[in-house]
Amino acid sequence: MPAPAPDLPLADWARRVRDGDLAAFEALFRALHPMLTRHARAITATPAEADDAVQETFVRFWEQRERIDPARSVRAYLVQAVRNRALNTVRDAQTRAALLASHAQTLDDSASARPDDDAHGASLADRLGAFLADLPERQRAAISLTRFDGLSHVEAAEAMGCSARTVNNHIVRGLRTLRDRLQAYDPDGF
Amino acid sequence: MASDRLSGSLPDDLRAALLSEPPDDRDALARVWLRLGDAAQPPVPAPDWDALRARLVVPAPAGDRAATERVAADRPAVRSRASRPAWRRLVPALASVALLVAAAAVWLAVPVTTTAPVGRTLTVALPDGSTAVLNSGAVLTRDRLDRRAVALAGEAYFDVQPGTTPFTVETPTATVTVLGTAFNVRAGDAATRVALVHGRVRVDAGEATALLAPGEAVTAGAGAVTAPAAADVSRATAWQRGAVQFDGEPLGDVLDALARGYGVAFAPAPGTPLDARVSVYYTDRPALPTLLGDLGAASGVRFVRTADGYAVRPVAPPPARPSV
Repeated sequence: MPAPAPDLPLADWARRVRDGDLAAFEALFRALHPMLTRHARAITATPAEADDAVQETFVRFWEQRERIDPARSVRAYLVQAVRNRALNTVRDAQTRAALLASHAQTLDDSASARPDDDAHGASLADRLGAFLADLPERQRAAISLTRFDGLSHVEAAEAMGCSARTVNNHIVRGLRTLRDRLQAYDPDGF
Repeated sequence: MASDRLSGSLPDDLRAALLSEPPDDRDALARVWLRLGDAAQPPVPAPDWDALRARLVVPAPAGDRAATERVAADRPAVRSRASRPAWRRLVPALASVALLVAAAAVWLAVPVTTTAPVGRTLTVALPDGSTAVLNSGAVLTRDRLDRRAVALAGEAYFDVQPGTTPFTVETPTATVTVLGTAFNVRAGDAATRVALVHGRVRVDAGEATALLAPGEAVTAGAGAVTAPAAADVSRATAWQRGAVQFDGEPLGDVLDALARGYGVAFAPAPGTPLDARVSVYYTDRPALPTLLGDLGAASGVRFVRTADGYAVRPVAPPPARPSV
């Protein structure tokens, strides 16, 4: 479990990137790339699309560095940008799929992979990860951002383009689902 | 209180969010939150800085010394403040390449047009190995991108190299499709006359279509094709040896062909029977006045020399039926 690393000098890096500091940009990239990649991959159909979305986001971020507002959370900004790109990929892919009249089939295929089946006999860590991945996208994102990536609820709200209150709702609903599934799996543990 | 202990280890945001939940739920949900710390994170590849770096445009270092050193360390190439970044030095080269590509595209898009000079025939070697012999004044247009497609105005004899893709001759009124054949096409504005020497061709005009056997000829025009009929194919191709022949063709097309062949203009007056079918044959290219005299007698028109060609007038009164 990578630490949320709350002490990263993100705001300082953002300020230096705005001034054209490539080293600060590299540090920011190395620090946030794993987290952003995980979020993108949770959304897109293939890892390659997610990785492209992350790289595109960083390229754009560098090109538009003069518009960086150091007062705002660079992490929330990048998560939002990556999420939008990844979601666009999915939307475009779904549009294509719908045009090919295979939309329903595609969704069925992806939904039929029940993490329960995969998780059976797996470690608790794997099972938790699988349960989490099985949550509705926004619940999963809200929990991951705040639990693993060290974002505050306000930052997560910014990243997800909603209110902090909505983030709270997503988190609580997601936690309920996880609780139910953990209980179903291991009644004694809960 | 277990609940207090649990909630004490929660982030403030979450603790606040859980306050609106029933106390039992609050506890269970807090436990889930804490246990999530054990959740396996899907593995992700290591950040590929080099791949990203290759896509970045980094401006020449500014006055900031620290920034200058960092960028210099990142780039092994020798750079001074005066030097432009690599991508900018490439701009002229890229511009030239783009220009060449554009020029090539334009060159490819412009068809090749060949016109036989008045009074002479011209043999054109086509890129697929086929040949076209153009009669005097005929205009052959070919696409640079399609080796097996030509357009024709006027008369030409084609000897088509056999091939897997059909060879097509586009005329104003018909499309002639062949696979490997020798045939004659006379393309007027009103009708296209196709005579087949050997091989096999298909002639399409609108919805109508006809398949020719060697020794047959058809006339296509106005969306119709006549039934293939036996024709004197040697006559149809005799123009290559200097002959002039028309075989039941509309006067209008004959005038077109003569205008090309002799380089003169015809100005038909209203009432001229341009649809009248005309047949004439000369083994040697005749003098134009001789030809026009015969043609006028055959089709009931008179040719009057004008400053820039011939006026064509019906012999009054216009004949009730086309004469041949």
